[in-house]
Parts: sequence; structure tokens; C-alpha cells
Amino acid sequence: MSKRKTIIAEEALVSLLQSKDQRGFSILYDNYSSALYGVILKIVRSEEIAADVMQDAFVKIWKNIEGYNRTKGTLFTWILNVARNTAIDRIRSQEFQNSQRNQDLESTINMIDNQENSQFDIDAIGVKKVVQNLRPEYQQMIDLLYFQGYTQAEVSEEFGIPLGTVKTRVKAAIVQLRQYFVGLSLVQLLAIIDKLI
Amino acid sequence: MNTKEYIESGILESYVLGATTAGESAEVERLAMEYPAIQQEIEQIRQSLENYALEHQKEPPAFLKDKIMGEIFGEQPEYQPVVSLNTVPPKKSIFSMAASWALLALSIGANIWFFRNWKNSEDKLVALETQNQILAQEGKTLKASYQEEVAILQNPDFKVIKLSGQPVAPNAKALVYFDKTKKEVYLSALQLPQAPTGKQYQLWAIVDGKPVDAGMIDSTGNILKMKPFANAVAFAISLEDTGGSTTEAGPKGAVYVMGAV
Repeated sequence: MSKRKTIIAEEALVSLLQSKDQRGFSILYDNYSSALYGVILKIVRSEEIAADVMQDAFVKIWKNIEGYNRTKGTLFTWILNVARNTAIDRIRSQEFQNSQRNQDLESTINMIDNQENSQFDIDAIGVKKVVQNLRPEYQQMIDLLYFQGYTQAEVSEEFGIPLGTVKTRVKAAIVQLRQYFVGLSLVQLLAIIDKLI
Repeated sequence: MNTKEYIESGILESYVLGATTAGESAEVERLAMEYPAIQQEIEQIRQSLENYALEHQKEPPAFLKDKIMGEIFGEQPEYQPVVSLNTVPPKKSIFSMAASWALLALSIGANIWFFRNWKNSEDKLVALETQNQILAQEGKTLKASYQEEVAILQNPDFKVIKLSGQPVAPNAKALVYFDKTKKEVYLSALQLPQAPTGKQYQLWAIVDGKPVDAGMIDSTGNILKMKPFANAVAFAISLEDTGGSTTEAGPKGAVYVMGAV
């Protein structure tokens, strides 16, 4: 079965979801599952666990959709946070920690697999992934804080980096990300202009 | 309250990353309500991180949607009734002989038809493959020029200067990327009216209060490398006779876009 993205105004989708309409859920899944699955996989690093976390996350989204409030941010921001937190909770759970110890080799292989996978999807217009452009110490900060749920103090303690340095690097990493995406949208704009000429 | 200082402090980045304490988060949210600049900054940080998250997009396994929908809506997979096979023994008759001849004739006809179609498709395929090669070549050229531009945009030494439309063409635009230390000047994102025959656009750098020739603009598509400058304070584009004007003579035609460094 191929998935088709349905173009629907976010407001309409939210009201479908909040009236517990099954079609709303189906559209939500088709439109956002790749984004959520990618992030979850990045966090848990195992396709099997990622599928399980996806299920938990979508059930949570469905159950708590009444609690979503448009004035506080976009629907995507909200569901992305639900998925991210569900995945981070999972890697911090005792069960996960034990299985990691037992299957150290397996998870390493998974990790390598996943890393290779991510190399393949190059952007449609052929621009290198931002991950490859971000300085390694910046990437580490974003990955630890955003994808692993560390606090800045935890990063400082665990990796022996002074807290001040952690804060500066986080700031610099995001500045670089922003600059990159401004650049990227410019390039996309250029591509559009090029087509018009 | 100095919002600029607050934004610079890095607390907003931590907040969006979910790395602030409950107390800090409450403070950020209160200030965001009060100061639109803070709210806007938070939005931009969030957008960057979400774009970053989107870079990891991956299609989940196909079975997952049904599984999750089943979990939520309690649906069972559709019931497939068992169809019994027909066990009646075949009967031979003169009609079945006639029918088999008819089928043979039909099959020969169909073969001829399919063969013609196949030939036709083969020709189309060759044409498409050629077209595909041309497109791939174009794609490569475009990619190279975009990569060059992205490399510039990601280099913190480059300053992006927007040249805005002047009275002769209020909607005209262009971007200059300027690296003072390496003395590099690039021109991009040109949106200028089509130059009439015999005319050409020229870039000028304003140095010590005087316009200096910074090179002719010979295409509008991709990024252009212009003449090197270290101490320009502004850039402008004017419409000149083909070949352009000299620094001594200065720009003779109208200035279309201009922007300060």
C-alpha cells in the first residue's frame, strides 16, 4: 500500500483529530510518520524498538490530542515533542539499558547500519546534509541535548566539558544551524527562480 | 529589561532543547508573552531544530500503520472467506474444439499486436534515456553551483548584503556575498529587468566615497564571482552600454539596485 500525503490545512486536521475522527488519524500518520520515525530511530537506534516507540507515541498523540493548543505552537512541534520524549524515556528505561548491555554488539551493528542509511538520503536538489556540515563538537551538543535528552549539566559532567563551554557550543551550534537553513531556503528560492527563467 | 542581552544569553536555545529547569522555562514563557522579539527568536530556534530533525526523515515499515490503527481503533484484519475450488470434471465437445481454435487465432493476433507495441516502446525508451542523460548533466551543473553557494553561505566570514531596488526599478533585487579578509565578492539571486539589446548591467563597489568598477554581469542564472575588494562600504548595479563604463568615467546609466555593507 503506498502512502499518499493529503494536503489539508493544519487547523482542519486538528479539528478532525479532536473530534476523534479516524480519517484524521490516518492523514496525520501519512503526513508525519516519516518525520517522527526518523527522529525516533535516531534516538533508539534499532528498527524494532523504533516501531514499538512509534506505536506508543501515536497512541499518546491520539489520547492527548484534546490537550493540544494551537496558540502554543504548531501541531508538528507538539507531535514531534511527544515522539521525542517517548523515545528518550525509552532509552532511559531500565529495560532498554539492560538490553543494551546484553546486545552490545548487535546495537553497534544497528548503529552502523543506521549511520549508513542516513548517508543515502541526499536532498532532492543535491545539497549535502547539514549533519555533514555542522562541526563535530556542535553536532555532539545538539545530538546529546535534542536527541538523547541530556541536560547541559549532565553533558558537562559525563563528558568532562566545563558547563560554560557546553553553553557556548549549544549557542554556536544553533547559530550555525539557523545560518544553514537560511542559506538552504535561499538556494531553493534560487532553484525556483532558475526554473522561471 | 534588555531583550537583546537576554536573547544573547543562550537561555532560549536551552529552553527549546528542553534543557532548562521548570523555573527557567516558566520565566522564558512569561517573557515570551511580554516581548514579541523573544517569542520570535524562540520560533526561529524551534524552526531550525525541527528542520534539523526533518533531515533524519525515514519511511517507517509498511505494516506499522495498520498495526497502530488496529491498536487504537481495535480493528481486526479484514475477513477473507475461503473460496472452494471448482471440482466439476471438464467435458469434451465439438464446441470446446472450436473454442480452442478461436483462442489460438486470438492469441496469434494478440502476439502481433504486443510485438508492435514492444517495438514502439523500445524506441520511446531510447528517446527517454537520451533525455534523461541531458537532464542528469544539467542537474550536475546546477548542483555544483548550488554547492558553491551553500559553501559561501556557511562560511561565517562572508557577509550577505541585500541590494534593494532603486526608483527606476523598485522591485529589482540582488545579493552580494562579501568576504573582506579574503577580498572575495560574489553576486547572486539577481532579479533585474531584462537588459535591452546593446545594454548590460555592471556592478560597482563604493570605495572611499567613489564608485569603482566591480565587473560586468554576463548572466542572471547562477552565482557570479566579481572583482576583489577589501574596503567597499556599499555595492550598486547600474545599466550601461555593453562592455560597461570605467572607474574613471564612473557609472553613466541609471542605478537599479544598491545596498550598504
